Amino acid sequence: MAAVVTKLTVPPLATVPAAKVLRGRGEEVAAELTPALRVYMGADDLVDPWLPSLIDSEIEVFIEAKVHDAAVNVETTLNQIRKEVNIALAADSTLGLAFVHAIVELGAGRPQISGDLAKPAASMELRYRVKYRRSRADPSA
Amino acid sequence: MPFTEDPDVFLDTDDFAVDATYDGATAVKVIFDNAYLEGVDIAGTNPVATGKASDFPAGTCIGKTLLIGAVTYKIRVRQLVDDGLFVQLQLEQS
Repeated sequence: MAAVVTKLTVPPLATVPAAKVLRGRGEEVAAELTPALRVYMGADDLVDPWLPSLIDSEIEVFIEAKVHDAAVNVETTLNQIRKEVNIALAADSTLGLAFVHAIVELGAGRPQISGDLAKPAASMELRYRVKYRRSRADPSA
Repeated sequence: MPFTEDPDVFLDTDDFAVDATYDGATAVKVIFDNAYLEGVDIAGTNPVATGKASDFPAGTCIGKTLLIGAVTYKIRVRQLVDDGLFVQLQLEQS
């Protein structure tokens, strides 16, 4: 997960500064902090547990884009962020890690839009999956 | 015997009302609230103004500006309050 954040912050995206890429945060994002990204993991499922000393897994990665803006269409901003995230993650499909086979894009959820706040607010979930190999004896290796 | 209401007594700037400018030129009084609100997991505020219905005509006030303090808002929704003497305006910060 840290490698995903690194790819989204170094170099920073054009739309979302590095300081606004938030990993593993469950609280609401302050409107003044947007545009922002929340990055968090999903299920980590074994796909090939029968190798002698290694295990292949696939872990889900969720990236939520948050925008709050009256000056531009929030859907347009969400799509721009999605494009920048895809480019950043596709630039190195192994995320710079020897044990990662690849990160793949799964798609994006329907934008959730709220008109209740002071400015139009919107959120979109971007979904990815990372296939990686690890030691059977030590999940961190 | 008919009862004639005077809505202005509810919009006293010595109490809760504030001066505002409607559509760039018209002085009005409104009760302004900007309470905390969360939407799509974004923490922000929900600006609303309550004013006389006659100050904010139905059908024409949507999209017009309301200057409150130094902040300009756009009127997005006009909601009648109770008998319709007052309206609550959902605002969008410009």
